Amino acid sequence: MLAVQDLRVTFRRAGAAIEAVRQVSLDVEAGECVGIVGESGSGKTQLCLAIMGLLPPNAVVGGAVRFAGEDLLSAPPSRLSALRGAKLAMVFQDPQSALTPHLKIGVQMAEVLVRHRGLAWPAARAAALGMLGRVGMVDPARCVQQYPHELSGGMRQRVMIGMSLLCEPDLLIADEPTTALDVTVQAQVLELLGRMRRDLRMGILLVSHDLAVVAGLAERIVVMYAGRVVENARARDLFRSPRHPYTAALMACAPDLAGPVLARLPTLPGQPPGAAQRLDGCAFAPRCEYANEQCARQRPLLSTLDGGRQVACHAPLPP
Amino acid sequence: MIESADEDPLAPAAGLWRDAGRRLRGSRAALLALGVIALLVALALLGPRLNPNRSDTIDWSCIAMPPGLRHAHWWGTDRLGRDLFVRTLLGTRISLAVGLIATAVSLVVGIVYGAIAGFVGGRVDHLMMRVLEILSGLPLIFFVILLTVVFGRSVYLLFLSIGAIGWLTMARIVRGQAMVIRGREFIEAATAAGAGPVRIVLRHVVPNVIGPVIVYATLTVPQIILFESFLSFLGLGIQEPQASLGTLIASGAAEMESAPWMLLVPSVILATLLISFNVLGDALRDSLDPGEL
Amino acid sequence: MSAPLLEVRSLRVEFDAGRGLIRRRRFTAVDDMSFVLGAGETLGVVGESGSGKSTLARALLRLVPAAAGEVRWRGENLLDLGRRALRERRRALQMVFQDPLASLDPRMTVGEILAEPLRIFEPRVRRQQRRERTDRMLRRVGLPRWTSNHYPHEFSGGQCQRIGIARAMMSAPELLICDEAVSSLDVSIQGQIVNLLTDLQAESGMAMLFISHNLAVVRHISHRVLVMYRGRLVETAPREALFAGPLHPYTRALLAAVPGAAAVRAAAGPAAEPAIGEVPADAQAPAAAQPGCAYRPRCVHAVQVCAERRPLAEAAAPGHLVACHRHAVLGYSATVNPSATPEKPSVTP
Repeated sequence: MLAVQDLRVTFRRAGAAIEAVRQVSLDVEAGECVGIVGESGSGKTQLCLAIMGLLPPNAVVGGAVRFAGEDLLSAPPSRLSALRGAKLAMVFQDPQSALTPHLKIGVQMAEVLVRHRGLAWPAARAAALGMLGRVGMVDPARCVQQYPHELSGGMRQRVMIGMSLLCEPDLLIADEPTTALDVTVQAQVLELLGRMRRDLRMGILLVSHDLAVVAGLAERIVVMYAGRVVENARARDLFRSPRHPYTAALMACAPDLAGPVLARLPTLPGQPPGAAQRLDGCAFAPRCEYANEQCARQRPLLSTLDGGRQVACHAPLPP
Repeated sequence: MIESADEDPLAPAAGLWRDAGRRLRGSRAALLALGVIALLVALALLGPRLNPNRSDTIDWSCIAMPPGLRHAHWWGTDRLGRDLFVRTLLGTRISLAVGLIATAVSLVVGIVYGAIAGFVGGRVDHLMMRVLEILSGLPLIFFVILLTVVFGRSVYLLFLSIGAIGWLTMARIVRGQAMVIRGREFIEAATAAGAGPVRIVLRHVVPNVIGPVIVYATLTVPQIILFESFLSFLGLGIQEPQASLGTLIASGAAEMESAPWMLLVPSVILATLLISFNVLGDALRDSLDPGEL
Repeated sequence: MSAPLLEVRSLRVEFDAGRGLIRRRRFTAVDDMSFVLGAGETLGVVGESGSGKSTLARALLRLVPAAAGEVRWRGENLLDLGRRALRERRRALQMVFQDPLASLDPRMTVGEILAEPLRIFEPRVRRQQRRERTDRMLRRVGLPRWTSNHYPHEFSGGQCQRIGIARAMMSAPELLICDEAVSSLDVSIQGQIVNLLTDLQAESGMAMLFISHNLAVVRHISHRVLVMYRGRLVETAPREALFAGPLHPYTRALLAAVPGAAAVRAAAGPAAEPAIGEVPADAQAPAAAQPGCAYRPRCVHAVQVCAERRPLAEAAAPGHLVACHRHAVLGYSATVNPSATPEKPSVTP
């Protein structure tokens, strides 16, 4: 349903070219949840914005993004506008800034339906009310009359998710939807997303820096580092045996609630490369404990291993 | 691990001032404005010395003479035969002096007032702002007229009264900035580290507030020069035989049809001065704004 | 365990909730908190947004005013001290902040930032020696010497946090409060900072108050843990006891909600605690306005008494305090590992 091919996003700033996304390819099938995991500088947010066509004007985009057969990158703004909210929806990281502060919730939600489905206002408002109930709001009738600043973070995020689901999109892009939320609310939001996916046969692109958040929901996981895909595998396979050293390190670095208490937390030395840095060879090599000569010289390409998984590494870990 | 090499791989320290200086130097408009101002200042200071005439010398043989090189009346003379070159430049001196001194006065008073109100906050801030608002509501002109009537006409009174009024907006700006800074985490960190209020204000608040203040000060100078010109034009400021750009324009306006240079010369100088300061102020604001990147 | 360095008794912090000159509602951010901390010990303070944990940290250092209670540092009540005396005590009590970049003055070089504590507390130290000491501290936190000449915005989040830690350590503090010190950092960097903190603690023997909403990190760094909810102490216990056998329903719900080991093992068993409800609209009101337990609106085990009387913290086991009317009755005793089957509540001593 969604096919991203060799996507490149470059920003021109002060004469220098900053490559945020470098040749990323991935697919999302109908009803599938694909998780994207990466830390700061991995380009995951730029990837989402590129798919939605929401990048700032100084961004140069290359490659192809096909949604239901249609190329989004070359589509005219009017077409993109028609698609967004209707077939293609996005939930942003910060619910505070994504909602219009001076409009009531009911109005903002109904507006989506009026615009995209051509419903009359009363019908749209009723649908919004119903959706608020489905996303688990305790008092939908009251919420519809409130302004965004009167709601808590968790409630705002639910409203955003509700808004994005109103037109029953085919694909939902969720960029760090739970990062700003408390852990108890996070669990509910994730469960909500799962439920909606099942009910609506919706595809989800779930972006997070937290492997655990993605683990519960995604069937396939794409790991990004420094703007590139370093591993792409089925979730179960990935967690059972990560093949890329970065994936393995990420999993090791996340402290565990149930395992033994460690005197020292496992860690990766150094830090992810900045977006402006030019890289020879593998971007992860400076921090990789298995790096060799070739890794520093030549950038590893994404190759397909057995079992339908892809890894970009000269010396992938043994299964 | 972070490279523990003793070599510094980063570019030389990008201080915010140095960055600003660099950006400023890159702006042609700013350099031009700065150059023009420097030229005018130099002219105002040194110009009159180059000309044998004095500001109040009445040359009966050259009444209302257009600009030329005869008799060293390079920019012409006025109705009374006084040399316009010298008079205009002396007038520029006074206008600049008023502008800079009055701005300095309003800066000092405004920063102190605004910093205290903004940083202390609470009831003190409330009270101070109410006072400020009341003062803002008073009509400027009547205030100046009142002072002039009470204390008589003097240049120093002019400086003081203009400066005393100009601090109002400066105080507001500083207060706003101080309030923003006060909420920033590094102020809290400084308090937690044991810094006392004096240290915090001097070492943390002021350096961070000064950017917008400088910009506003640069934009205040032309406003004040204009205001002084206006007052002098009305007859409330500089009096004969001294000249300021305002009085020159006033007397020049009366002769507009017969001797246009009497109006043009001071007007052009004034306009150039004002435009240059405004351009400089804008450029300063752009260069001091670390917003992007 | 030596005599406690820090003893907090019935600390209460209030803020003005409503505006208006006539009527001012008070919102209680920290409500009757009491705990102790000894030398070399790390107390992890856990809670979600609105729990008051950051306010607690600031109240301990008198960065916000306290309405009632005592904060005894080495026997002396910090809340009673005059300004000058308080500033002197600050030498021993330092803090590391959540946003590494925001806590550093953007107009000062790193060297000047690190030198400031020396200028405040040891003004007689001359420039050369100051420079040596700041350089040494930079090395200690893993940053190269040339960092001194640069400005904070030139560094990454992890590096800025090291600078913040270096600044806090300059005055050789005996207590370090870390307010969400690693929350804004990448996962692969978090470990570096946490390890640095534990190393520093081991070297200097200082006590640490580690505030975080990340339970997994807290588990690895703390000796004892304290759980807060809406400004109140809900449960406190030695680390093992809290994570293996939490007694308060909120703690249990919190632990069950973390997408952790179970999810990663892809064996999602039903949570041991029924899903915790969203805070209903009327519970948004300040906790102090309602009598009874602050957690009652969300608690599935709440009964009548929970709405009437506020539960006090009582000792369920040595060193293990719980503020719940029903903890003995609910009697959880098994681990909270979500991959385990849900156990039925049983009465255990």
